Parts: sequence; C-alpha cells; structure tokens
Amino acid sequence: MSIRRPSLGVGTGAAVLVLLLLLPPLVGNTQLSLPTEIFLFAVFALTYDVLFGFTGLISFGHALFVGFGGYSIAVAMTGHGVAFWPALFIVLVTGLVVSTVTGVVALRTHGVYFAMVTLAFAQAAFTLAQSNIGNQTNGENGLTVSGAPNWLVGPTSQTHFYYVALAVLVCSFLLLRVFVHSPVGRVWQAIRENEQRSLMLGYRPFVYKLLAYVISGTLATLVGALDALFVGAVSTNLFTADVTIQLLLMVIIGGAGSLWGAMLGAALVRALDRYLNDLAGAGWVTNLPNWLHNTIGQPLLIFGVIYLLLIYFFPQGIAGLVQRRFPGASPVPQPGLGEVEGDALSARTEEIMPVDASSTPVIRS
Amino acid sequence: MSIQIPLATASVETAKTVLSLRNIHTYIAGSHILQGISLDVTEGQTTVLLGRNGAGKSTTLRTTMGNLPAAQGSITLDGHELRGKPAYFAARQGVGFVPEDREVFVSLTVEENLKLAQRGGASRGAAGIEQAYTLFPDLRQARSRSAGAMSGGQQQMLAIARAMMNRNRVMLVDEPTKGLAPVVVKQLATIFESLRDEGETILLVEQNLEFAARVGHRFYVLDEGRIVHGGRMDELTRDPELLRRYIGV
Amino acid sequence: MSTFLTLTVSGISLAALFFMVSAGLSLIFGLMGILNFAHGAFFLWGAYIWFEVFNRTGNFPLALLAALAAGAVLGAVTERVFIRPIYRRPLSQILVTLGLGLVLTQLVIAIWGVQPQYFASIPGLSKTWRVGDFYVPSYKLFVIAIGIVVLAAVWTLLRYTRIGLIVRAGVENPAMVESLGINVRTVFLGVFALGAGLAALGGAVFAPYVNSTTTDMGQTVLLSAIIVVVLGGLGSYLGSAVGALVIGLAQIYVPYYTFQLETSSLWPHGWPTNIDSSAASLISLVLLVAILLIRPQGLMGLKLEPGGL
Repeated sequence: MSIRRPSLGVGTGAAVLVLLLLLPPLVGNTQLSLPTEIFLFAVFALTYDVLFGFTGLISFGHALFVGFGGYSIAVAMTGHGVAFWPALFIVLVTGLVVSTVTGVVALRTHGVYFAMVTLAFAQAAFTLAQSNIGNQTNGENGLTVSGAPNWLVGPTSQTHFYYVALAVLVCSFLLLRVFVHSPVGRVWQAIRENEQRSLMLGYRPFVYKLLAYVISGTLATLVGALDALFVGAVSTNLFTADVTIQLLLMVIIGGAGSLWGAMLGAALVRALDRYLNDLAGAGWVTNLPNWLHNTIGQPLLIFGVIYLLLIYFFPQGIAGLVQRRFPGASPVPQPGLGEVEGDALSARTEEIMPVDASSTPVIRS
Repeated sequence: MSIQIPLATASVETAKTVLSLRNIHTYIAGSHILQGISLDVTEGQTTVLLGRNGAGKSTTLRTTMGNLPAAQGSITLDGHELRGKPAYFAARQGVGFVPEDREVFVSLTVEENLKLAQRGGASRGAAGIEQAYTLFPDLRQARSRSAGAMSGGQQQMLAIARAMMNRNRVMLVDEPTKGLAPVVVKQLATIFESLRDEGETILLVEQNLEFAARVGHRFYVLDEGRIVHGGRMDELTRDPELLRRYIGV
Repeated sequence: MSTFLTLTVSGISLAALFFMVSAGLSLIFGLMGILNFAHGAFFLWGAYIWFEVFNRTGNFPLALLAALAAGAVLGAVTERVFIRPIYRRPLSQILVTLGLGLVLTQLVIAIWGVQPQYFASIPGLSKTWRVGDFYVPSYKLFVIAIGIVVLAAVWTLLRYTRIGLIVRAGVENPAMVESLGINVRTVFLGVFALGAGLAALGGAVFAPYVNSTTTDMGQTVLLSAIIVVVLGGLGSYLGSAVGALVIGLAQIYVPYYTFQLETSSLWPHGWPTNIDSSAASLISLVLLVAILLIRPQGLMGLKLEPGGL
C-alpha cells in the first residue's frame, strides 16, 4: 500500500510534525499544556489500540497501567527520594512485571471474561491505592510528584516537556508501527479476525496476545509516569474505569485498528474536554439551570453519548470514513465491530466461548 | 463443476414434494460449507443424507431450520419460502427438528422438555404428552426426572418425542444413532420403521449405513458441500462400488 | 458469639442486596449472552429515584415501588433501543453496555450532583433490637425479608409459568428453543426489564442501609454482583443466591476478623497497614479471577443439577 501511495499518509504526517515542532515559539509557553497533554494521551490511546484495534482484546482495565506508572514514579521519587533516571528505570521494570503477570493470568480467558478479569485487576489496584497499602500511597488523597529535574518540570520548562512528550509520541508511534506491520502484527490481526483459525495455522495465539499486552502495558506504564510528572500529582482516580473508557472512546473516534486514528481521537477528546471545562467556568454558563451547567461541567456524560453514537453509526471511526473517501489510503482493518455471520443466538456463544479448551472450560457446549 | 442430480426420481410418481432445497450456499465463519445443495424430500418417505464427517450434512439441516443463514438459494416447504426466516418460523410452519447430540434441555425435567415444545392449547397438549408416553414408555417412567440424568438412548427418544409434540410436515433428524449402544440403535430402528409406516416425512442424516438402509426410501450423498449422488436406497445397498466411493465402507 | 450473630445478620442482609442485583445480571447473561456492564447504573438510578420520591412524599413503600418501576422501564428501554439493534454484534454489546453505564451514571451526577444525598430515617424501621450483646437493626431484618420475597417470587415465576419454562430452557440453549417454534426474543425484553427492576429495587433498599446515596455506589455494586454471578455460575438463578450469601458474609466477616488478627499479638510488628478495610474486596476480586480461570461455570454448578434454576 505504502509503495503505491506514499505521499498521502507520510506527507500529511511530516507536515503535521513540522507544524508541531514549530508550535512553541509561535504560541508561547502558556499555551503548551493542552498539546502536551494530548501527546501523552495519544500514546495511551496508541497502546490501547494495539490491544483493542489490532489484536481484538477488549480490556476494561487499561487504567491499571496508567495508574501504576504514576504511582510508581510518585512513590519512588517523592516517597523514597530516588533520582529521576533510576526512578524511570524502576517504572520500566514495574511496567514489564505488572503487564506480564496480569497478562499471563488474564489472557487465559477470552471475550467478556477477559474484560471482567482486566476490570478486576484495575479495581484491585484502586482498592490497594485507596487503602494506603504499606503506607505508600496516601489513600484517597493521593501523592504529589516531586524531585523531577528542573529542566523538565520547572516553571519555565513547559517547552521542554512539550518536546519530550512529542518525542515520546513520535517514538511510540514509530515503534508500534513497526510492530503492526511486522509478521507479529499480522498474526495479531489474524487473531482478531479469527483466533481459532490462527491456532489452526500453527500460531500460538496466547504468546502473540501476551506480547501485544506486555508491549502495550509497559509503554502505557512509562507514559503514565510521564503524565504524573506533568500533572505533578497522582490520585486513585487514575485506576477507575472512567480512564479506560476515555481511551476506548479515543480509539473508537479515530477508528480502531488505525494508529493515526487513535492519535487523532486522543487530540479530539482532550481538546473537547478542555473546551468544555473552560466553558463550564464561563459566566453565561454558570447562570444556566443547574442540571445544564452540571452537564457541561461533566464532559464524561457528553463523551459517553458520543461514544454510544459512534458505536451504532460509525463503528469504523474517522479512519473508516477517510478510507471510504480515499480508497487508496492506508487500509483500516476491520475492528470486528460489524455483524457476525450466522444466527445471533449461536454466534454470540462462539464469541464468548473460550477457544482453548485446556485453558478455560467451555460454558455451553 | 456441480453435478446435476435428477431430483425426485420417478419411483413414486404421484408422491408430493414437501421440502425442497435449491442451490443452497452456506458460510460459517467465512468458510464456504454448503456449495449449492439441491434436494427434495417426498411426502410420507424417509430421505437419508449420507456422507463423510464434515461433508455438510448437519449444516444442511441447520440451514433448513434457519439456525444458520443461507447466503443464496431457496428452501421451500409446501411451496412457501423458508430462507431468511428465523428458526421459530420454520418450526411453526411444520418443520420438526431433532438435532445432532440431542440437545435436550438437561436442566428441565422430561415432562418440561415436552411441555416446552407444545404450542397449541392446553387440552390438546395433555393428549400430546400422553401420546408421546405411549410411543416411548421409558419417558413416562422418567417424566419428573431431569433430562440430564437420562441415558443417551433415552435422551434421543426424548428429543424425537419433543420434535413430535406438534404436527409436522417434515422432521429433520440428525444422526440419531450417534454414540448409542447397538441394542438402542435396534430400538430406534423399530421406531423409525413405524414412523415411516405411519407416513411421517423425514429427512434423516445418518452415518450408520445399516440403519439408514433399514429405514430409508431414498438417499443423497454429500461430499465437500455438494450433492454428489442420489437415488433409491436399495440401489445404493446393492452397489458396493458406490458405497466405497462415497461412504468409505 | 453474639458478635458473630450480629455480623451474620449484617452479612445476610448484604447478601440480600447483592442477590437483587445479581439475579438479573445472571439471567440476562444466561439468556442473551450479554454481560450487562450497565447493571450498576440501574442500581444507582433505583437509589436516586427512591430518594427523590421518599424525600417528596415521605412514603417509603411508594418510593420502593417507584424505584422498581423506574428500573423496569429503564431496562425495557435499554433492551429495545440499545441492545436489540446489535444482537448480531457481540463485541459492540460489551462496549455499549459499558457506555450506557457511564452515561446513566453521569446523568445521575448531572441531575443530583456529586455530593451524597441524605434523607430522613425510615418510619418504623429505624429501631435496633438488642438481646444481650446481640444487636439487630430492624432495617437489616427488613432487607433480609425483601430479599426472601424477591427470591421466592422470581423462583415461582421461573418454576411454575410457561414464561419461566422458556427462560430456563433459553438460558441453556436459546437456539434450540427457537427450533421448537418459540420466538425466544420476545422474552428477552421481559427478562431485561425484570432484571433492571430488581437491580433498581436493590439500589432503593441499599440507600437507607448506608444512610445516603452516592454516585459511585453503582460501580462498586456492579463489581460485587459480577463476582456473585461468576461464583454462582453465570445464568444460574439459585446459584446467584448462594453466591450472594458467600460474598455478603465474606464482606462482613473478613474485615472484622482481619482487624482482630491485626490487633492480636500474632504480629509483633503490626499487620501491614490498613489491609482490613480492603481485604474483603480484594479477596472477592482474587476469588473472581481464580474462578474465571479454573471453573468459569461457577463453583456451585447448580445449573447442571436436576430441575436447576
């Protein structure tokens, strides 16, 4: 594909990147927090897309990694005075360990059971953080993050953080792009289309799914730490399903199974969130009836409605629309949201039933 | 590629075709399982579908029932189109179904299994159940026991009785002898003989050739999603070459 | 001993609440194959509708009925408008119920705000009985009674009516039910409405139990209910009753007795801080994961027993 029409995707990407590189001098330091936040969330969305869009895994617990990254760096730096670089290394190791352990367990289940198990993991982390486990997490109050080098989070360093976040985003995008276009990525997509068939072709879906899960989880943990540095604090909210559903929304807006779609989705959601927050503080809005004011101040409600509308009417997201417009553009894989063949009554059992009988007993055979 | 098979050969000139499949194609999870099935089931006869494992026999029955959608073709019952209709529509039109592996409701009692299948008024219903018990005395004994606690043979009889709770135009029966002891198979053969003699119309999938030969009038052979042969049952049993080629005996 | 009895009454009343939420969750999953992640939101709506009606009228039974009715309507609308168009899209179903849960929860926040709502004590149910050291709040007894009534009513419906017969068979094998000439989808709506109504009733009964309504109680109860349902066996009605009893009692016993351990001399350096409050929910979560891995048909396996519900 990319040989036939290299210009469209790569050209647009390069143009956007140049624009983003030139942005700080153009808009000034004070305007950089939104784009920086977008870059970080774009990486979260990319990592979620690897699971959901490319491998077909519905995790309801991706917040686990976001929160773990934040808490790891906060506990290391604030709690134990670990320096910045060693702390980042600790985060990396934590990410690898947590994603491998939870992945090995969760991936033995399939479909809705996988969603349940991942949700349970995130909830367990939430409970632990809430209960101030080992006197490390400070319960409901959360932790502040201090001890980061001045060049990164000092009062005049917004530009630096901006470029760091942008660099992390570009590197993550390129890394994940290499993966999804590699033979490994093709197996991921084969698993998403039909796990049973990929099994029959001689692949071990478990290994490939675990790889996707660990790459996705570790990267999300690292960026979770960066986000905590950026915000300057962590709280137990990071572990809630609200975080996961926001990532899900970003991926679905952009088009599941499309990397640039996930980034675009992250930009739209965060920008809208910021806009609505500002709007809720505006004078004329505060004079509105209470419920309307509350609604505007609660972007999650609006996000939820958009999310539902998209699932019904645009399950392929923006990337799907673009592809319909420009059939030659980089192909968007089907995220598996379409109809299943066969009767609904029997089809849904196949979807939910585990494929590997040895790992999970079949409920209804 | 497709082989033309004479449909409804002239063995019984006056007999009426009840169920008729024309050029049926069915896909399961993207695989082309049925590749243009055409067959006729004649009133009052038992038509047997033969073929190796995976040839598409069960898929043919499930497609007819409406449990699987046919991508193409037509399925008519007394001239009324069934394709694209849900399974309950086919059942209400008079298609009875005895699926592979019985699929009795193991968490219900025997009598509840029968009651569930009744769609008419209550008074006629009681008589229907009484009839089933007369035909299958074992079931009367086990009426308040869980269907899951019964033997395979008894479950098979329950599945047949369940399919007969309403007046059928045709019954689709999928491998009734599968996994059953020889003595039970004999019992079933007697049952199907009497159904045949009473003039029930049956489309039977069967791997057990002896059983099929005993109860069937006509046969079709399926291979890789296509009908490759068809004719009268006695022609098949007298032709060892045919048997070897299609059934592997 | 009296402490144990007091704890047990608390545990059973909590179990009654869990049961009201999980019964519907289990039946909906069993019949339609949908794990309804919006079920916690039905519970939440029940609590707030109850609060609104009780606050305005002071009529406790009326408020309970209003919550039940509102939940049933909400469930029916959900099935009809949101679930029905996507019966053939199993992936979307999971995503949709999650989104619905979010939207319904946020609507509650938009209407009532995030602050907890408080209300007057329930007439006739605010007393605490005392026998020696054995304390029984009358409201807890009331909750247990409601739980038993719901259990018996739904059991009768499932056991002795034709609709119940169709539901029980449908839980086992919906495709076969259709092959018998029954349009099984016509009972989907009813089961969804019933399940949502029971969850809402659970929310209404729960609010006085904790003396306030909070906007996060839906999410919390959903997880407990999922654990109950998985423990009891997805689709098994009596299984969720047993599962609810196990989880309800565990959530009361475990924190109390871990606290006892903590303060005992068994731990010279003290128990690793503050585990007691979260021990119960952690244990349930571990249990959930373990069961899903080892025995997803549930520990009870009641579904496979003769005449099982």
